[in-house]
Amino acid sequence: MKRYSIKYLAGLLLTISFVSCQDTPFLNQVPYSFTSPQNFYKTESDFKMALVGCYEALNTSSITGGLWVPDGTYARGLYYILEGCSDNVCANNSAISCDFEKATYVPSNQNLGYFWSAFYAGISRCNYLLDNIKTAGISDSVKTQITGETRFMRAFYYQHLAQCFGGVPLNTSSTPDNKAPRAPLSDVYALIISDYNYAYKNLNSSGINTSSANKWTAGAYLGTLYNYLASCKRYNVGASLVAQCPLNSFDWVNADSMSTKAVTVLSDVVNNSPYKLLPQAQYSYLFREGTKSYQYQECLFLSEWSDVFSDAYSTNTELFTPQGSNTYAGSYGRHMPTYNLYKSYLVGDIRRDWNITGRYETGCVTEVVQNVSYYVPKVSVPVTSLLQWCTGKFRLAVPGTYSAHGLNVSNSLNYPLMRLADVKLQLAEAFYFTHEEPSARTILTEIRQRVVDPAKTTIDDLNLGYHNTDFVQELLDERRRELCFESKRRIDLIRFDKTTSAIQNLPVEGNTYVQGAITTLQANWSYNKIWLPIPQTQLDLNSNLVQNAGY
Amino acid sequence: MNKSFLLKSKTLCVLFLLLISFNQSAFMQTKNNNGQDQQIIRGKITEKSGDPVIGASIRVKGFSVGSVSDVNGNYQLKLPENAKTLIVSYIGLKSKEVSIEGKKQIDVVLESNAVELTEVVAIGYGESKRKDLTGSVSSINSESMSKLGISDFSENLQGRLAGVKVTSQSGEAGGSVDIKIRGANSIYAGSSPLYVIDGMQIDVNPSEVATSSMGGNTTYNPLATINPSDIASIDILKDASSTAIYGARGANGVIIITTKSGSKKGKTEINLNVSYGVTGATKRINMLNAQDYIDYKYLRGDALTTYGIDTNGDGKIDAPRDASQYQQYNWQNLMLRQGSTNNYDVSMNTTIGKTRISSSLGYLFQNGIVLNNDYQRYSGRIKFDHEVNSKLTVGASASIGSTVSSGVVSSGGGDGSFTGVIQGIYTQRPTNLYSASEAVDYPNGYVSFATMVTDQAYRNSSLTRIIGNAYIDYKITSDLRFNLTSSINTSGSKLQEFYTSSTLWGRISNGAANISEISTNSFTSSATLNYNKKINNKHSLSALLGAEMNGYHYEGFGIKAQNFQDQTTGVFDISKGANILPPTSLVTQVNRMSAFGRFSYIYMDKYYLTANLRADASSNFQIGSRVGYFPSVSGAWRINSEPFMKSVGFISNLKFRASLGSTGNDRIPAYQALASLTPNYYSANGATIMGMSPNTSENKNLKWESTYQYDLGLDLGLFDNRVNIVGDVYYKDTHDMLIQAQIPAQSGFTTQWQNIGRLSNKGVELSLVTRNIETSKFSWKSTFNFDLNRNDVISLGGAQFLPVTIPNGALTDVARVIVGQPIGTGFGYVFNGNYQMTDFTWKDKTGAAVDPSTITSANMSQYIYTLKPGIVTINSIAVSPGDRKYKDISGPNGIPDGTINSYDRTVISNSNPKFNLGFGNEFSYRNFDLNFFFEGVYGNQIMNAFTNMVEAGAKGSTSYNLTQNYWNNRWTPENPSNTYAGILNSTNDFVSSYYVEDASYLRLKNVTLGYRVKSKLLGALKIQGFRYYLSIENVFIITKYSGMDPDIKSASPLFSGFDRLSYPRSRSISMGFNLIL
Repeated sequence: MKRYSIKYLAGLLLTISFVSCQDTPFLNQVPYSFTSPQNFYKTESDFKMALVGCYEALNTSSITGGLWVPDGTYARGLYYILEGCSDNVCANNSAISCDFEKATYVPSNQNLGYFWSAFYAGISRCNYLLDNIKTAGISDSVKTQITGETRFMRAFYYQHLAQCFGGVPLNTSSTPDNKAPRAPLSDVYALIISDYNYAYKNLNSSGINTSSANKWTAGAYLGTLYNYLASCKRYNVGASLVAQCPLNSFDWVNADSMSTKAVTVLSDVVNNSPYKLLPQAQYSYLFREGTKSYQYQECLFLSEWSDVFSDAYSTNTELFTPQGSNTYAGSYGRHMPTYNLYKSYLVGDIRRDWNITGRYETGCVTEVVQNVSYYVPKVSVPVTSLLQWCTGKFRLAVPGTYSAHGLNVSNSLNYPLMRLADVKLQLAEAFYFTHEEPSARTILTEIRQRVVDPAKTTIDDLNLGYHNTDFVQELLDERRRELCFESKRRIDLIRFDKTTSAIQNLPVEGNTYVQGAITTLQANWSYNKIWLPIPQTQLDLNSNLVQNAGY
Repeated sequence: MNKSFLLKSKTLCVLFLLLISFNQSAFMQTKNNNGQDQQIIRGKITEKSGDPVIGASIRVKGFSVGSVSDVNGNYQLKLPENAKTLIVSYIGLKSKEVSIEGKKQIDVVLESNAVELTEVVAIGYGESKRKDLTGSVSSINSESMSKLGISDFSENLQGRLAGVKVTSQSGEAGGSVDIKIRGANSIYAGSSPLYVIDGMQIDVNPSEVATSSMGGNTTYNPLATINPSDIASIDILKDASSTAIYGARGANGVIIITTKSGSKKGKTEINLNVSYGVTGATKRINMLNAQDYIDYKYLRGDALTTYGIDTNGDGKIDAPRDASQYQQYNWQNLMLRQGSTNNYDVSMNTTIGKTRISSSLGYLFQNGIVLNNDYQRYSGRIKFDHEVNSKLTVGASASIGSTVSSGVVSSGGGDGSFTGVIQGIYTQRPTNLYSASEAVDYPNGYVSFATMVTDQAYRNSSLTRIIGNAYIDYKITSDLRFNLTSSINTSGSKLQEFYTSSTLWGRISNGAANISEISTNSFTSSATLNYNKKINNKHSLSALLGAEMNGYHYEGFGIKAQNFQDQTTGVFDISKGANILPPTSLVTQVNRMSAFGRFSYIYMDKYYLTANLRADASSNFQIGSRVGYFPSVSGAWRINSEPFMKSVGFISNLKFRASLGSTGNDRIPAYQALASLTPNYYSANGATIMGMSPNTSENKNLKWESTYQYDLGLDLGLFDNRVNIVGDVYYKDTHDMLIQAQIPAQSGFTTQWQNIGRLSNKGVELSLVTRNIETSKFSWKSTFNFDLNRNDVISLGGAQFLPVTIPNGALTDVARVIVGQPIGTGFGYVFNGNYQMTDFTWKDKTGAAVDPSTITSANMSQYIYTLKPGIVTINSIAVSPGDRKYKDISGPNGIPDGTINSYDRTVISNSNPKFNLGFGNEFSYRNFDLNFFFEGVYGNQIMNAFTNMVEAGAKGSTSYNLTQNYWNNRWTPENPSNTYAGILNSTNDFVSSYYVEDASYLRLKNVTLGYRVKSKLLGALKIQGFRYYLSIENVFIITKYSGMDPDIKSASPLFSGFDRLSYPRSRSISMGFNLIL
């Protein structure tokens, strides 16, 4: 009998204690060290913080769960992806990042996954904000401002993904379908255009933070996108691959309509925004660490880093800065310029010797610009020198003298993502395709005017020397000269369907490293690589995704 | 908001419900026989050792009168008339008949006849005699451990117990150890067992030890603070019937560690152990010397001006430089040293009145075999048990252990970035010659690797753990006991490290300092009622009812500084670092509440039945998913107690056991069911602005992982138990696995904890102990254990596989968890020889065809080659002769497509052994004793990623040194190897079967020779015992594995057979003595 009573008792006790006790404070543990979404997204200040997060993904080093992703963002990885497979640079290293400059990328290249994951994290951050702000009790004007900036960033991330991978899954909610298939480019760009348009229509001339996108940023990106779509359609980009992957078709694009729209919006930006081209004396300020206020005069959008020591600092070992040691704040010299790029400049175009330099070496002198000291790299020695041959467009301050970082590996150089020079060249393109070639040529002249070294040449000589009866070719050449190492070249070549010819016609010349790297690039390039492969891990995780052609 | 306060309140909620329920069952009293006046006889039953035999049966021959000895071995008995002989028996001891002959006091000494049967085994919240077990429990006692002089208790378990798989991360002292009981149960939620140390439940959490943030991810064993000499016994609960009493924490098995208690003998015993040993690396790998290295770099052609020289003055570099002009290094000689181990411990066990006291102090000091790597452990312990009166016993214990490890982090095979000292020894260039583009490695001029480690780096990592325990044991009636036990476990760990700008680890940041501190506090409080009753000597009942609460509080804090202008004070003045990185802090709390009961019934020592039920609620899950119920039932049949077996004389014990039940696992990081936001930082015009972003997404339905387990066992004793066999077969079925699943990144997140999938483990365990010879002078005992486990992923919640990625290094996407395959499956390409000269068509620069057989290394660069049609190509890579080739298995349409792409990947390795075994022999002859022990595994494979670093290639760090073996056998036009690729191999970063090696091994783990001094002198000096010994650890290993040692612990539990080179295993030869006063 005893035994039964004990058994019953056991059962009774277990029941009583667990029904009554499971909802106790003892078991309802609330986290100490992190915020939960339920307590957040309430006040204006919450949304402003959330908005910062929406920007941060563009150059972040780590995303959800601590995944380390600098090799997929503007922290460093995108420089390889967006400058590579072009006639501007070739790889000087065997690192995985360099696969993008050698055209040896395969679906398992982990940097692809970092790019994909980081930019989708950015999109998700935007979606969380947008879902929550609808019902938030904050003033309408702030709501509109924050919504506009957020939609701009969502479009920014999607544009990068779509231009690199083609059609990608659409995610516009904080509770998305994780297994959604890739959407066709028409759907993806419809969303991007609608987001950019909203931002362009609703934002003011200045954003919430000085690094924020504003009306003009949105307009510039919108116009640029119209041009991109128009050229992809006109030049049948990827048409031969569409049979294998119909998602990436541009058939739906009305090229002329796009060009017309581009003229309208880009003209608005050029004519009405406060941005201007910096004069020749200040040209180099666009690319220096200590001249942020000048950068803001010409740059509509930048990948920004902090002067004070914090999590928000850049590492520069893989930047387009001259090669050199710690002492000089030099880089590893991962990207080697091609001799062909060097030759694309005429003597007297100050951009040549600014963009392509030698190393920082013992005996380097310093120069002071706006109260900040910089080491001056050696002058480049084309063709033969193995060492004096660097991408030197960006310059960091003498370590320890400017930002609180003081290290060569961490700096606060803001990397321009959209300059007025770019916007103007985009407008020139739009003019050309809307049959206003003279206006287009005027813009080319304007861009060239500030880079004329009067001691060596004149604007007329440059115009003459750079002239090409094929305006598109001349425009692309000018964009290359102006915007090299600013992550534009890969897309520029692709959208005019010139990548294959640019790579295959690249003369195997320069120093032996460059020659070897060009040979590698030429051996490995194939046309299907205009689209990056969908990362293998993502294909594995979502069986609804299809791979791009040829991988 | 004070949660630690909340944590303590509400305890009553469950605890004292029990007390209320305590009812009439308490009032049972044993009745006395009031017979006629009878003679009373008293006495004491002891073992040979002098320990009292508790519960021995004393019967009068020919009568149904008997008694049982009490806790002190004393008995008394009323003799019936004509009683002539007493029969004293106890299972596991030889029964003895003693004639009464009118004596009033009969003391009996019983001798042992069996091996393990008398052993008392700790089961959850109680103990049982081994003979009464219905479940599967393996044990190891202090005696077998103390003989060996081992400094880490977990290492001592390796190979010794069937079904218990111990792997250690490296040969480094204090390095982390992985114990798996009956296979991997879980994919992501912890798969290590629950430890119960004197009642304190401890989940092993390697993050309790502050570890280096630089040079790699070496983890340390959080239980290394425990001095093995303090352990009385280790009992390992394996099947559901044994572990279900630990419910939600029992699924991975339970290791119960009981520390020593004061002596029962009423005398004081002082035990002193001293040992000294020397250690050395068991293995070296031949790497290139300086000249070969320069030749290699010259042949690569990356930096001709550095590595080559123009010998004939024609302006063309035509020969490698002469190494003798430069410093030359053999890093293995410079960095590996003879290590040493000093171990001292002293303990005292005594009884004062009704108080038993045990205390100890210990000190261990090890010089590791890698330069500057030292390890120390201090430990102290005190424990007392006091009998207040006949009803009440109280006791308390406290132990403190502290370890200090120093020397540059070794990166012992973790997911490190290959920059640990160990990797450096093999990859650093053997000369101080380097090219301008390699100068980034030496920003301040060349600094030798050894100098970096000895003079330019500092690391000190300490861990202190205090475990305290107190109990009240109240005998309500002779059958019913109430026990209240509370335990606390506090750990504190601190890491300080500094690397100057001359080191590999500090050069980028111009000096790097790191301080991190981690502390944890946990408690377990349990109240139990224990009821034991024997009825008519036929029925034996016991019941247990208990309630428990526990909580675990974790706090971490860290700060890093960089950019030191003055590096002389290092980590001791981090204010000199111009860049102070944002400090980090983390606090988590996990609470659990439980109630449990156990009922067991034994009939006539023949039929056994045990049932368990536990209910658990965990704060890791949300309301609704929070509570889990874990029942189990088991039974046993002791056949040799049946009358029909009496005639089978050679069988002295035969018992069948069967059990089934379920247990759980909630071991995931706290709060994973909740969505969270984390801060991040962007900038605006140079200023930092803080943002907040979603970090994890919510999963309200997250709940326990549960494991259903079925076990059939057999205990067999033969020839008076001189042969003891224990065998088990089991099947474990894990449902609702807690998986930190990779989810499509298009969701905005990359991982989420989910309950998906199902996994099974099935296996066989066998252990055998034989006493082959037992004479007064010579004895020989053998032990043998064997187990095999088969692990199978049954489902992954719809997915066919989960990718397994191990970050850093060239080979990262290395494995998969695949439905239908075991956990630990390597996934990649199948190596298929190298591209040979004849796979290409050759032309000279004029376009004329060239016969490939005329081409040599010297003139190869003059010709142009193209791959012949029909030869397999590699997607996206233009291959060259000497590159590795892979098998074309499939294509987009499921048929081979002539090119190597992701469709060609397949299963290429299995980390799981086909079986594990261990066997040993113990001999004693007069005063000598000799022990040796082998352990081994068979049939497992390791993906040796280290090979990728030291066999050249176009990718990876091309400045790494190479193995001599590779260099001598590499592909060249003259040596068309199909094994070793050419030095510019462009396909070496393909995860392939090339890197997979057989990792079976057999190791003579320990040989110990001891001598027990027996002399009158000792008696005169009041020395009770003196033994000295010589012990050799890790005597030799037989294996084909080319890495340091096949016993590795990978960074990922999902791919245990993955090696990036671990700390070299050491062989140690130690001498010591053991003195008992």
